[in-house]
Amino acid sequence: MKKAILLTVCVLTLILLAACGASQPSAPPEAPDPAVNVPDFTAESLPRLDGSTATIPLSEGIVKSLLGYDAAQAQAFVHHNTTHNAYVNLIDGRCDLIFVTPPSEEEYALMEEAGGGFAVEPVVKDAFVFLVNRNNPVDDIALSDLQKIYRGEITNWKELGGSDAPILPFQRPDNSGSQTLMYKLLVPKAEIMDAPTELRPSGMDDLVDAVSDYDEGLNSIGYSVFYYASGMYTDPDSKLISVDGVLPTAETIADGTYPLTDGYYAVYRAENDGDTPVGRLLSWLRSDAGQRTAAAEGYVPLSPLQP
Amino acid sequence: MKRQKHMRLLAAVTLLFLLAGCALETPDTAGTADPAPIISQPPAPLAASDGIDWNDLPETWTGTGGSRTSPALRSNTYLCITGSFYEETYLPTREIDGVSCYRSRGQLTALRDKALQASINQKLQEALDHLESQTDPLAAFVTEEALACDPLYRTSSIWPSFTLSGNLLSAGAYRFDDIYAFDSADGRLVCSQHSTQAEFCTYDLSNGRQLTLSDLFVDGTDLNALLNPLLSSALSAAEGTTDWTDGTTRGGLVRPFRGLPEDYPYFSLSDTHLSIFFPMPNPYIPGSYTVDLPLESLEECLAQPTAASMDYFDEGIESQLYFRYSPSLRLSAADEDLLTLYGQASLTVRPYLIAASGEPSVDAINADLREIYRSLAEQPLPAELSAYAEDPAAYLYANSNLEFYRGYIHLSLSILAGRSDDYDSDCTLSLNRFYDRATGQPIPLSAILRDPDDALACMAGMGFVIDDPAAHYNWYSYTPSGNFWVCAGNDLSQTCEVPACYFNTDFFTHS
Repeated sequence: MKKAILLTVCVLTLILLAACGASQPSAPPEAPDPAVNVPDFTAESLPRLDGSTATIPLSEGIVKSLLGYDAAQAQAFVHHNTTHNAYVNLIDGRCDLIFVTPPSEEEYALMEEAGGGFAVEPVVKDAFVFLVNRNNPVDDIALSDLQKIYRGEITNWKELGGSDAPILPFQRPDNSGSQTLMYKLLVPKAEIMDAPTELRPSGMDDLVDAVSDYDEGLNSIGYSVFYYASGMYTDPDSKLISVDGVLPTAETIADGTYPLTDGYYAVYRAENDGDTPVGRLLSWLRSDAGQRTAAAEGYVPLSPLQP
Repeated sequence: MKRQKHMRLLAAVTLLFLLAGCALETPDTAGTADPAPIISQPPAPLAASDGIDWNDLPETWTGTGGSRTSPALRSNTYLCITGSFYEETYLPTREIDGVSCYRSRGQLTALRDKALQASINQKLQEALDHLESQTDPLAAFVTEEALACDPLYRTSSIWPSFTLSGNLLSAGAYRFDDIYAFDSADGRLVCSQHSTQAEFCTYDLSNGRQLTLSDLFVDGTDLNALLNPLLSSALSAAEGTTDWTDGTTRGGLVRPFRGLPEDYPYFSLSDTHLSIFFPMPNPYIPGSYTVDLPLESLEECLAQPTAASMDYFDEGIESQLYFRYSPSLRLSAADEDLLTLYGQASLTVRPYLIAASGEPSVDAINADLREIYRSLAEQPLPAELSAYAEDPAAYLYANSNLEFYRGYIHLSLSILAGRSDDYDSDCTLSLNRFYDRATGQPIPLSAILRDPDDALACMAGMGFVIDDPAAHYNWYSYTPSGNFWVCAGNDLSQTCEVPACYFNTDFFTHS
């Protein structure tokens, strides 16, 4: 009897301890610091901004928040010269801070050639996502299999549990943000298979052979960035697929569970870090207010925001 | 009994422990879970521009063009008004405050309904005048630094346009301003800006009614589902293309496309496309941009006929039947391996006719085009071009085109090579075919020679020997009254210019 009581107490204690363990909240993700002051800028004192086309809304959001501009004023104020030109302008001192897609090898080389001394840090998140035809039975592809597809090692959907049909793996032009992510996150440029090409108008009368756009075909696979692919009218005939069992959503991107996550970056001269206009702007952008501003412009924040 | 008491006691203690565990799991805030972290925020509103509220997106947007009035756009041909139904007058160029101003005026001249014609002309003139009245859109860029530059170029152009699609006529007014300033010391481009503005109106010539975008489509067509995905895709595809107003490369979409606002006014129609114009500025693509939606992608839903009707035009206005063609049809996988021309470095263009089902002439022409592209891919590089293939400073590309004339179709294929640092080094080879539009058969040289013996003797005298003119297809002429060029068989580099007098120029006028 005593043994039964002792055994019961032990079991109950274990139950109690398990309940206690289950009730401990997991450590919250690092939240933006709500105590960061809003920097006091004017149109003249705000760091000169430049960047990629995809980060224009981010700059517009910053201008609206920090200068009190409305949407039309912000649109007129912000002028991005596209990614490569933004780097050149930063290097040549014609701007102070650029917001760009993940730097490519060529862009890192550009900064090195200019003597280095540049800081590169993410300011919002994005993800590299894959699309297939809505009627393709494949909903999930392992990361390793995606790499094999784009190395040309997996060529038929049946190898992935789909139909017996050749995979048509479309790519993006070399100077696109998506292609930079492909080389960085999945398959390096030296290892990737040749892309399908087709005619595309290049000017008033010319037609050039260019990388084919993903065509939503039943056997096609293409890719983009979540910022665009999550839009309302992007591609009604396609679906996003999960990678390693994780579907790309704002949540899985923000919390890092989606495996192909990257972001948009701030690039600036490292000497401008700290208590400088650039430093104060970036500190604010990393704050709760700044990240909410970015989220309102359609970007995924660096980490989930607190309610 | 004692055992039973012990068991009841154990049960009570067990229950107490379990309840304690549950209580520990229950947070202090009375039965609610931790609030989920926030990922998204309500979308920031978009800036309005040119009177367009980009946030005014219709929840439902349907066609209002009535029931369908024309058969589906499946024919491989379309009728096009080729005669001049309007006149454009170029005004003298003026220099105003350092700006070179180019202006032209336009008006319809050939509509049978003269009252409608006058009404459209007035509306177009009002649009041109409105654009003229706009303040200098680039005034902010005329800085002291820019004014100190030499050279400093400033232009302002305003012009009209008219396009037709079946019964529907679109009249447009455009304004383009630009400024380019180069540092006088080092020639650096200091300033490069441009601005594009436009206004449009589209009329149904059958009843004189001005149409909205919704009026182009059959009643009940879900236009959100039809147009917005096409526009989103087209805007995305702009990434990497060249903005020909300033030579820059477009960076792609600014933000995901949310849809066209209700009653969007910037559209026009042509024989082949519905064009949607995105003015500068707009929320989606830097600068201005025109998306050309092929009518084929809309054919099931178009309410209006797409083939031009002569009923609304004065007598004497000409029309022409054209084939629909694709610059490069996406062929089946079995054909893809035939389509590479001169390797990865070349730029290739492979036009094909868009075949209606069972159209013999189209099938025959496309079969011949396939054979041409295949045979070119199999041939070794001509000697003139082989030197450039290994030269890193060389460019090498092929370009081809289909042109449609009364009764025949002309394919021209050029292969051009040269060095980027020596434009005198250009080497051009050419291949041509003329096809009878009715039969799809290539037209041999013999069919157009007035006197074969005389013509062949003339060519032989120039060192050009044609063995069998009935089996020779590589010839062309730009105009019926001009000279002809005959290429020596498969040797694309050998071309002989032969006077027009040896040819039956009636060939160019038969229908």
